[in-house]
Amino acid sequence: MPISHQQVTRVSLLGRLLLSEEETETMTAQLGQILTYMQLLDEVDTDQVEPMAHAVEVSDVFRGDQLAPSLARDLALANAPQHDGECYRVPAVLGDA
Amino acid sequence: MEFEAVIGLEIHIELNCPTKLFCDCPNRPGDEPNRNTCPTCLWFPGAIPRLSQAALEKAALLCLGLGAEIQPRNAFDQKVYYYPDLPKGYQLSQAHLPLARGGGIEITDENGKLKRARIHHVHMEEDVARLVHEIEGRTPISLVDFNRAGVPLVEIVTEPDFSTPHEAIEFLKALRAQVRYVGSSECSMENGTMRVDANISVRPRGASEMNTKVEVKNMNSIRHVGDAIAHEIGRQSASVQAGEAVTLHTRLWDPDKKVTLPMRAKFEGPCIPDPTVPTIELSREWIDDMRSRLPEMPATRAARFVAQYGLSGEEAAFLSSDPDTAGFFEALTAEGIAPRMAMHWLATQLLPAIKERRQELHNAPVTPGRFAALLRMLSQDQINANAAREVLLRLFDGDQPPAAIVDACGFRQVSDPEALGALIDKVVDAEAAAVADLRNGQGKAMGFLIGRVMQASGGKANPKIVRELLGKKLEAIL
Repeated sequence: MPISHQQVTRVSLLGRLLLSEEETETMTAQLGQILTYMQLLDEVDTDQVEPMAHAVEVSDVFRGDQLAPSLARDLALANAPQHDGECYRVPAVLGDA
Repeated sequence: MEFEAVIGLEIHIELNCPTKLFCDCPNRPGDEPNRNTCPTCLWFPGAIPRLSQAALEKAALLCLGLGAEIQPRNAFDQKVYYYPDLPKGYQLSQAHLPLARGGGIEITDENGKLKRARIHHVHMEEDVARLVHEIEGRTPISLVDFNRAGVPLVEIVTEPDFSTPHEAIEFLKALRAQVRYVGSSECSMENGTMRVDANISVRPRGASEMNTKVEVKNMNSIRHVGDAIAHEIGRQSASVQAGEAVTLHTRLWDPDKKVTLPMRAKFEGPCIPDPTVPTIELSREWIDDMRSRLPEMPATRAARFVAQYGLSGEEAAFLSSDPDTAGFFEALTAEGIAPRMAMHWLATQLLPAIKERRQELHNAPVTPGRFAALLRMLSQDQINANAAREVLLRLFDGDQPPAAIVDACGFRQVSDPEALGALIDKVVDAEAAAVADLRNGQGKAMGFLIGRVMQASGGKANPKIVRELLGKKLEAIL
């Protein structure tokens, strides 16, 4: 199998997806099939190919450092489910970033 | 068993360009909460990040100052993690193709031996929002301020080249000086424009393998970095000694208790190439142009100070560690002040006075011109050192020239031999006992007599001339 049960559990945790044991089994099998199919790419000889950094053939798009007005605060907070007029309020997170 | 530590540092530095990294909002994270935001730095879906050229240039200058090699091609990745300080779910960071690799700083270890601390790479990234944790009634909540979201950062990752807290501190001081010189950041740990994480592991002295490391965060001064590293080396050595395994985790420094405490693990996901910010291709010409903008760096300037002004290595290093201080010193010497006098008065009088007033040297009311005028009066014996110290403090109160303050306060030194001779005659007559002591070979009575004359002059007599005249007078009568 190209992907293990354990890897699927970890990825679902990172994605905040709660999968049942049965769903994890299904996902492991299905993701495995997808990865097996993609292994076709391994047959291509890429020795002489430079790794790609970006999908679009554009580079060096810069912005001059010109200040522009920011959003009014009430507008910035308008879509927040909860705020105190100054900050967004969110459920407590323990520890530090 | 004796242990040695293996230490690597990760340093985040906030660049001081006017706007954020990917949008036109002001780069002022300390403003009132959520005043500096827009759809891009609130990370609304569909917003297109556009890289600031000034941030790229400031980051490149910082790298070149450290001798790092700018990479001709670099790009941004999405560093995935989930936390309320990053609601879009990923941070734009250069995980795979960083701005620069290599470089380093020469530091001295405890024994004064030169050692090179190498830099692994330097990359750019956006800062995340600031969280404030509060209790409302009995419910803990978190408040999110996006002023800091998208602020331009560089992260400097060193090789694990340090073995003591001293070496780490030396490196950070030198790094701070270099970054201030190129003008990319103020690098203040107190204000959060420089943040340091230390990766620490221990091993039996002389061993070559690397053991599991622990990351320590939350130090808000360079001294705390040293304290935290020292504590962590002790803690890990003790646990290895006791036969316990060190596990990979992150700890927070508690500056009050002076200990490191384990921190809850944060899930970090993968880094995937970002499709929104185009790659950055930097030509040889562009890099050379940046290099030509580098100022004289602190180590070079210190060496020049030793050669040009005859200062000691230590004095030169002190002056050159901050570009403002070094510039002020050179402005004083350009005004004709002797280098040693300039160094002494700057270090022991002016800088402490500025610090006490919480001012900055570059915009303090005591300009090099005014300070030089004061020191010139001192070196020409128009005032004595006590008066000079007094006038210096008054220079902070207004813009009067030092000479006007000296006159207004009656500080001008009396050097007139006739006036001083009269004072000396009076003192010698009054202090017959001291004169008798001198006659009996008790030399310290001389100092006492000089003190008396100074006192009689109201502190204004020129001590050099008093000594000279008193010597002659005593020679005549003894």
